[in-house]
Amino acid sequence: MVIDLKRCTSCHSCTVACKAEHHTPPGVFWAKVVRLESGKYPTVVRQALPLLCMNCKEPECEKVCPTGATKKRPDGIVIVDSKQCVGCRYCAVACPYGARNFSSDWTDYFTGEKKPSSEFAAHSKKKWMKESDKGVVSKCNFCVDRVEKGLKPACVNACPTEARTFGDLDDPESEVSQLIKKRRGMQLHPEYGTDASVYYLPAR
Amino acid sequence: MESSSTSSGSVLQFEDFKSGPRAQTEWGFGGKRKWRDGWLLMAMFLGGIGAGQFVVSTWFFHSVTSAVVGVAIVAVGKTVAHLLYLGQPSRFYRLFLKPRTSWISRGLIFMIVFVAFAAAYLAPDIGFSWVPWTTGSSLGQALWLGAILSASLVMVYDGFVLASCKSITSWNTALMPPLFFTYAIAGGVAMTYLTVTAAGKKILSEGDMTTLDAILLTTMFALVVIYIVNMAASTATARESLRRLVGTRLAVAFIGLAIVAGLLVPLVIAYYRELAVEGTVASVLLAASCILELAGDLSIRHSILSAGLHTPVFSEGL
Amino acid sequence: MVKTSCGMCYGTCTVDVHLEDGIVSGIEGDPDSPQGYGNICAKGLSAPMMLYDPSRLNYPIVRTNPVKGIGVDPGWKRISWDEAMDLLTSKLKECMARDPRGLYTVGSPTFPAERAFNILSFRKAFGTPNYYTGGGGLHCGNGAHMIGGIYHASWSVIPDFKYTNLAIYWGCSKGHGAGHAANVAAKQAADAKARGMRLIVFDPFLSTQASTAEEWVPIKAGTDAAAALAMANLLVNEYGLYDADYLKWKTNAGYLIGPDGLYVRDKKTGVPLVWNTGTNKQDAFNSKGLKDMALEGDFEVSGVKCSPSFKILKEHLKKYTPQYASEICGVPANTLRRVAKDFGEEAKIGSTINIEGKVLPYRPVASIYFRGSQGHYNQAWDCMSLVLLNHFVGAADVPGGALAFGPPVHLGYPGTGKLKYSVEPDKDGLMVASNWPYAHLPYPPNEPKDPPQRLDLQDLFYIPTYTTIMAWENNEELWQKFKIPYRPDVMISFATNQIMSVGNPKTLFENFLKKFRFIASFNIYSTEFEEAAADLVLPDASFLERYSSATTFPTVGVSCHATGLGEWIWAIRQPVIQPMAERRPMVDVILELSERLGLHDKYLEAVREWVDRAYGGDIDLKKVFKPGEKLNFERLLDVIMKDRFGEDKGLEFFKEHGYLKWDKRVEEVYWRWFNDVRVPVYLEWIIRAGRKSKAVAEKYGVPDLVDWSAHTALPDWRPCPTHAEKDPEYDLEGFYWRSALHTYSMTMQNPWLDEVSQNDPYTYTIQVNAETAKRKGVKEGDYVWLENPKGSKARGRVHLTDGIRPDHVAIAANAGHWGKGLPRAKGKGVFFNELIEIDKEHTCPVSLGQDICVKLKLYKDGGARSG
Repeated sequence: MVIDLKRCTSCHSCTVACKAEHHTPPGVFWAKVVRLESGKYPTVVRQALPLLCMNCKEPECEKVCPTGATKKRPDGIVIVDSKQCVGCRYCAVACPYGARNFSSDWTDYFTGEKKPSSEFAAHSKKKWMKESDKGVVSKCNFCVDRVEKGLKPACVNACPTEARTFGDLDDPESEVSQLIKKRRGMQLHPEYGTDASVYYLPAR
Repeated sequence: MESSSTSSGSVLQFEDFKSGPRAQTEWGFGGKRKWRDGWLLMAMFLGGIGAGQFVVSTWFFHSVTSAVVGVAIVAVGKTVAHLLYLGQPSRFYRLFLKPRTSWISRGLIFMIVFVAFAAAYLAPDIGFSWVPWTTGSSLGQALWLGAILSASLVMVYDGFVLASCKSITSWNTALMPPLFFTYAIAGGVAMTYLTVTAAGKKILSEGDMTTLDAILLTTMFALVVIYIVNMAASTATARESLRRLVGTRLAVAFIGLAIVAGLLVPLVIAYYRELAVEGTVASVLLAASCILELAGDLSIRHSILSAGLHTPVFSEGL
Repeated sequence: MVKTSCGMCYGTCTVDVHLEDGIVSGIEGDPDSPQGYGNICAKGLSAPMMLYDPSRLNYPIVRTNPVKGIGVDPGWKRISWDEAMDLLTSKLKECMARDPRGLYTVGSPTFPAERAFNILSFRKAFGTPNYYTGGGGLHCGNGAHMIGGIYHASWSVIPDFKYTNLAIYWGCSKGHGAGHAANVAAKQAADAKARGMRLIVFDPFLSTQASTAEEWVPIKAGTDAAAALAMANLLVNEYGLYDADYLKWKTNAGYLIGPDGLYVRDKKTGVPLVWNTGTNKQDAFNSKGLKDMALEGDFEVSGVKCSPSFKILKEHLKKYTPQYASEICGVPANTLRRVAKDFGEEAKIGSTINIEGKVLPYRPVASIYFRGSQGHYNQAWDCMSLVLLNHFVGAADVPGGALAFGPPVHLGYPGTGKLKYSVEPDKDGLMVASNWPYAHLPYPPNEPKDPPQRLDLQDLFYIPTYTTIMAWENNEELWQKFKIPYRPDVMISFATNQIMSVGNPKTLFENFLKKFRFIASFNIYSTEFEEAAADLVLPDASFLERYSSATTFPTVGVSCHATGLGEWIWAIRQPVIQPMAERRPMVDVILELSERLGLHDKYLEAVREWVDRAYGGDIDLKKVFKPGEKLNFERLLDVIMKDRFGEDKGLEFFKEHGYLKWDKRVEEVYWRWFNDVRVPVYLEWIIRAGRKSKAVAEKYGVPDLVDWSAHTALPDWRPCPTHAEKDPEYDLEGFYWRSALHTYSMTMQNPWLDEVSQNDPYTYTIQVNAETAKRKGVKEGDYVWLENPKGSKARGRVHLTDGIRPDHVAIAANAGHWGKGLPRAKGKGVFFNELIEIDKEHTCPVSLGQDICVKLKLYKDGGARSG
């Protein structure tokens, strides 16, 4: 995935699109936007940095996972098998990108209780329990179910400024590869050797 | 409960949304589940002192009771703490599946191996006289050696777990394994003394023990100083970790408990005892010193976990 | 899957709503729709959380506690719909018998905006002229809309994102994902930036767009006019960078002005005169033989000394030296010079562009204002000064320039030719809009009513919106003096939270809301307004549970079409699920009320009038509806749409397709040079209109109702009350900004949006400059109080930033709820409105809009740290 920082306005559409797609419970964010600020008034620079799982080619999380629940698929997407995860959270601590979320149980957004407060909440709970489980770690999976159907990930689909492009990094002719080449796309923390699959196009 | 911060009126930014260094909120007290996440700290602590106690008891002081207690702390205490911590305890067996890359798998395998060796080694002394070896036999000595080795690994693996987290600068240092190891040994000494004393026995050589303790305390103090200097000279994130250790409420645990109560006071006691005091006063002082050391042991582990900060995702600036 | 229009803000993007087992399971944008381009924002995505909120009102409730007031427990009691309708009908009948003008209708500019025509029609049928819009004080723009209407025949202005090369934003953030055309503008602005459009943002804080801009110019709040007038001065007096052709043929710059400040007119025809430089004598501005005219010089016509208005304006601007402006606005004089020059040069005056075979002036610069620059005492003239920059360089409704928002010109739906309207000149040659949502057009000025009929005295003035006079402390005295025989009687509120959205809630309640005998409210929650003031609350359907006739067309207060070339769209809203529990769409209730009150015919007549004006074309509804046929909204929609688009495009078509789109024509988008209309760079008519209003006020013994000296023809900067604050303790200027996460006051109750807001450092906090905070001993996350000189206070958490002027504090969104009916929203964010006053001193004397900036002192909260 490529995210164009020049286009992003930090509207948090991705954050909520992800929530709506995966029904993540309170406190769990697979996608989010972090706001950075540097400089001194009046020469100050503020940047929105949309974050999600980097689906690294050399994923730290996969390395440290003692259970084998975290797996890298042949297409590069890193997934968590929620039926195999024990919730030790080594991965969440080892991930340099804060992409992993532990959730001890599903709770209702309105009441904070384990009992759903509406039919939508019940639907949400059902979806989440199918997607993940209680007491385990979860994370963005590039909307693997959507991608397999030929759809774009939910955050890419929603983004009002169309700052996100999804595609095949291994194909040098793909739009993402071309964007990275032309706009000098960069990875976050390349020094950790994670070889992240999310590239950022500089804003300035 | 996780949702308490969001459903109540108070506005709190989750760590993962912060632009600066982000505290890890998974391991230790004050994690996402507040108290329950403290069980991981307890597991690390119990694993360290339990293994340490076995080593100290069998190597230096030959106390079977203490050694048994040490093994029990690991086998029961650490295991229970782990199970209480896990999100899905019924799947605990999966933790052992990936020793090839995961330090948690390795550590827990060390633990099993240790408990197996230690139990086998101690078996003849605790009523299982039918086993075909004695503690003194060469097979027994081999078992002991195995137990000592695996105990050392149990003591040290926590350090490797933390050090393997690349983005947490205050953990990602070669100091972690020796620090955890030394603390485990010192904890073992303290536990041994307390166990033996509690059992109404007298430690064979209080003098030796004090000397050992003094050496350990000095080493630990040196390691902590190096750790601090290291952080101060490292990245902004490490400096922020240090600031939290010495400049926030965490300083109560780090400076107050871990350094003053857990290191300096026992050191003073150790030297003071060597110089003057005799008899029961000394024993009481030593016991107090041991309790302080254990508190310090727990505190330093707590402090290190709590001060674990991830480097900002976008640290190169804008 | 159901195709409908999102209703979480007035951007109304076309959405595909997915259902699973009868539950709304997901919402996404429709990729083929020009309304959203298939994208969707956080607000839209979180719609299910509003639909299924357990705090939603599900049945009618009535107040049992006779005491009203802010913070009072209303003691809600559930009643049946029959009881509710009987109660409301009887109260309205009593009101009708006393004086129908005692009915006040109050609408919201957002959630139900597209349903406005039903409310307007009901109000008209009932016979009351009284209404205003919740949020009208704080969020809406009297000055902005008035000036938008006069200069662009439109609600607002926006850059031509496809061609603009340099945009200057003044206190606005168009393209950040909220407000007008939220999503559409966001994508267009991003495309523009990717193309290389430069953006310079004048704002006291680093707004969303400022943070992505090439340059942020930190300016003091309420001083934009001073900066803009200095730039205007530089353009015409120093750099000579102005479009003389545009000024001559598209404005009244050449009109001769006499010593009385008014046009010199032809004695016989009354037509304003210009100086014909070909014949070297006066000529009618629209004379056939006129080839060129003077913009400068002194002339004499029939013994009267006169000059072109441009010369007068040019002279007038001379006092706005960059130095003088700099002292007012806090922007270095050199910056003003540099930006003015950049703007003037980048305008490429004289250049043309060929679009679809049509050669048009190409002026790729735009000076764009909105909420921030207009929320001030001088807002009419502030906005005029800002828009004047565009008109000096001819960058108005031409490729690259500032474009009208919404469609001022539409040549008709290709299939039927209907839905047609355009701009037209009046006898003075000035532009008259034909499509305008409010009581009367922005131009020509309304004749003042003598005596005024409305409780807010709006009809005494010539403004196209409304005033806050009905909530002034001396309102009773004014009503007596103006011999208004009736008083506030019954109010029907349509999805507003007036307690939080108008201004100081205590002022509004004590001076105004308390005076009503009966207040009924349609809403989806019991908000602070219902709890404080309502007697009866009716559970409304939210946007996924109801119909709307038209969400994008025309500019019914819903300015949401994409700017520039592309497609027009007529979209409807339709129920995705049936209203849950006992919720009822308020339109259906209004229609039933109309029947119960015997207003059937009058209602249809009012709808006809409105549809005629706003949708273009005539349709005799009384003939369509059979005698005795009950009013029915779906039927009404079907009739209107078949009339506009043909027999095959009735409601069934729209239910299936959701919308209808067709290509925009160059003449519609860049309409300025295709229509023989002019705009006034010299607002001569304001002198005349102001005099008329003043005469009526004087006649009734209120000569100083407002400062009439501001009713002049030339732009000036006038200070806000805050600029005159002398007490050094009040050293911070507070202002409000709009977060892309929220639509006014309602969305904090949405847990998804609320959770994200908590995690965004700016949305729920008070932004304070880091140095200022240091000086005051305030740290990140501290709770502080902000207090205005009158003692009104607001509490909130501090966020330190370098992205704000040291002498300002910024507060986002309309937050800080305390009502029991909004448990999730309670205590979230900061309630800014508590700090702003509703009185004469804080009212623009020309546009009657509210001044919303405020001087504050900041001190640490000594109390508990819990929220």
